Amino acid sequence: MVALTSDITLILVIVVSYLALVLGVGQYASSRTGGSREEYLMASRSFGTIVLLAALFATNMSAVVMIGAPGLAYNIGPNAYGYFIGLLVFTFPLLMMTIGHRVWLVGKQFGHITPAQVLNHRFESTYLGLFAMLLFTFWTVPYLLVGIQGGGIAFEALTEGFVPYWAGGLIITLVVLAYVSAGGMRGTGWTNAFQGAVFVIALIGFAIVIPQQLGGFRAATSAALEVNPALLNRADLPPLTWKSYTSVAVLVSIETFILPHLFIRYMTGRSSRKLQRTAVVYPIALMLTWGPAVMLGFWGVGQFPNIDNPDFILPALIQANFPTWLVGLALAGILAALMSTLDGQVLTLATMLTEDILRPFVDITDRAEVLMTRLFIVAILAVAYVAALLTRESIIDTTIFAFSGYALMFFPIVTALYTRRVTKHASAVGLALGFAGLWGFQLGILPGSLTFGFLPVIPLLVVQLAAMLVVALATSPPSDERIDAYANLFEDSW
Amino acid sequence: MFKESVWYPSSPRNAAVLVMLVGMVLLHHTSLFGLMDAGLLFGWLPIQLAYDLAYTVLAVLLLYWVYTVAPKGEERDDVSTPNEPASGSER
Repeated sequence: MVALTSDITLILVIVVSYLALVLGVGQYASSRTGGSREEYLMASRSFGTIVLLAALFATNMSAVVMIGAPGLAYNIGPNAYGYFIGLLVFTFPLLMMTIGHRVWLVGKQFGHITPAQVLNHRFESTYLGLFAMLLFTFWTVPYLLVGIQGGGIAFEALTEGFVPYWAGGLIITLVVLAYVSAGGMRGTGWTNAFQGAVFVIALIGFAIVIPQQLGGFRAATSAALEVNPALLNRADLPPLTWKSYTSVAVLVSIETFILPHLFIRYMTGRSSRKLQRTAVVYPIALMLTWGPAVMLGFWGVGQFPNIDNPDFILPALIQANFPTWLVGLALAGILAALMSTLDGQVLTLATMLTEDILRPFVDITDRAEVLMTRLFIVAILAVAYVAALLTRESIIDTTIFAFSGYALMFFPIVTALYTRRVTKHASAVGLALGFAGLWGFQLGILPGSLTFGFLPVIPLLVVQLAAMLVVALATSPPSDERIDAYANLFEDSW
Repeated sequence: MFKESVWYPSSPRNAAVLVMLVGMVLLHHTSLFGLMDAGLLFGWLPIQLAYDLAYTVLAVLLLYWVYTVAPKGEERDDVSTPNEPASGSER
C-alpha cells in the first residue's frame, strides 16, 4: 500500500475540489431541467452555438486526445496529428454542415431523437432501427471503456499508485453517474462547456510549461530527436504508408460523423445555423487540443525513452516536471476530457435503450421514461466499469476497432437522407455486412490479404455499398407518401 | 433527394464544394509533395506538424466560405415543435 504523503494529499484535495465543481455545474443544470422527455433527453432542442460546440467537441474529445494522442505521438512523432485528424479537421465539419443539416431538419420536423427513430420512420420499418441501435450499443461499449480506463491510468500514475487503477476508474464513474442522471442532456451540455474549457486550457498549459522544464522548446525537440531521429521522417515509420494514412483519414472522418452521441446532439441545436456555425469553429478547437497533445507525446520521447506503455507518457511528463499543486490541476484537466465524453456516451446509450426498445413496444409515460433512462444510466456505467477492470488494451487500439464498427454504419444510415431508392432491406444488409465483415477480419476468418494493405474498413465500405445497391434495386422502397415527406423537407437543403 | 444535395454538381456552388473536398483530400497527403523528412521550423517545430496546423487554418477559411453560401433554411428553423411525435417504429 502506497503511503499517503503530503504531496498526494494536496493532489487529491485539488482533484476533489474540481470534481465538486463539476457536480455543482451539473446540479445547477439539473435545477433548470424539467421532467419531460423532450427536456431531459434533448434539452428541448435549445442549445446555442457555444453550448452546442462544447457538447459536440467535448463529447468527441476523450481519452483519445489526453492519453491516446500523446501515446501515438510517442510512437510515430508529430505525424500523429496528420495521421489521425489531418483530414478530419475539414471533412467532419463539412459533413456536419451538410448531412448534419438534414439530420437537424428531420429531428425538428418529425420529433426524432435517436438514429434508430430516423431509420424506422424513413423506411416505415419496425425492427431496422432496433438493429441499428443494437449495433451502436455494441460499438459504444468498448469506446465507453476508454474513458474509464483513462481515468484509472491518470489517477494511478499521478498519485504514484495511492489511488489504484480500479479506484480511479470508480471515482470518475460515480461522478459522471451523479450529474448525468440528474441533469440529462442539459447537464451534459453545460458540464461539457465547463470541462471543455478546462481541458483545452490544461493542454495548452502543459505544452508551454513542460518544455520549459526540459530546457526550452529547442532542447525538448533535440532530446526527442536524439533518441529517435526517425520520428521526423514519415518514410521510416511503418504505420504511415499512404494506404494506412488514407484508411485512417477516411475511417475517422465518417465514423466521427455517425457517432450516436454526436448524431443525437446535431438535433439539439436551436437552429441549423447554430450547427453550421459550430462546424466552422470546430477545427480550431481540434487544433488547440491535438497540437499540444501531439507535441507533448513527441517531447516525452526525450525524457522517457523507454516507457513501457506509451499511454502513460502524459501523466509521466506531468509527474516529472510539475510541482505538486500543478499535478493536481493537471489531473483535473485530464479527467475533464475523459468525463465529458463518458457522460455523452452513457446518456446516449440510455436514451437509445428507452427510446428504441421500451417506447416502441411498451406503453410508457414520459415520466416513467425519464425514470427508466436514469436506471439505464446506472446499469450501463456499472457494466462499463466492470469491463474496464478486465481489459487493459492500448487506448488507440481499442478506439480504432470501435471506430471501424461505427464507420461501417455511415452509409446504411446516411443514404436514408439522400436517396429515394434505398430500402430498409438494403440498409439492413449494409449494416449486417459491415458488422460481419469486420469481425471476419478480426477473427481471421477473412484473410488479411483481402484488405490490400488498407485497414479492413476500406474494402468493407466498398463491398457494403455494392451490396446495398443490389439489394435496393431488388426490393421495394417505402411508400411514395413517406419518401415525399422527406424529399419535400430537403428541398433547398444540403 | 440526391440531385438537390450539395454532393451533386448541379450549380457552380456545389461544384466548388466538391472540388474543395477533393483538393483537401489531396493536400492531406503530404507524401504527394515529398514532405516526408521535412526538418524543423524555428529549430523546434516539426515542419510536418506546422503543415498540418496550416492545413487546419485553411480548413477553417474554406468552411467559413461554405457557411456563407449554405442554404439558410430560416423558415424551417423556426419550427418550434415537432409535427408528429417520434413513434420509434412503424408498422
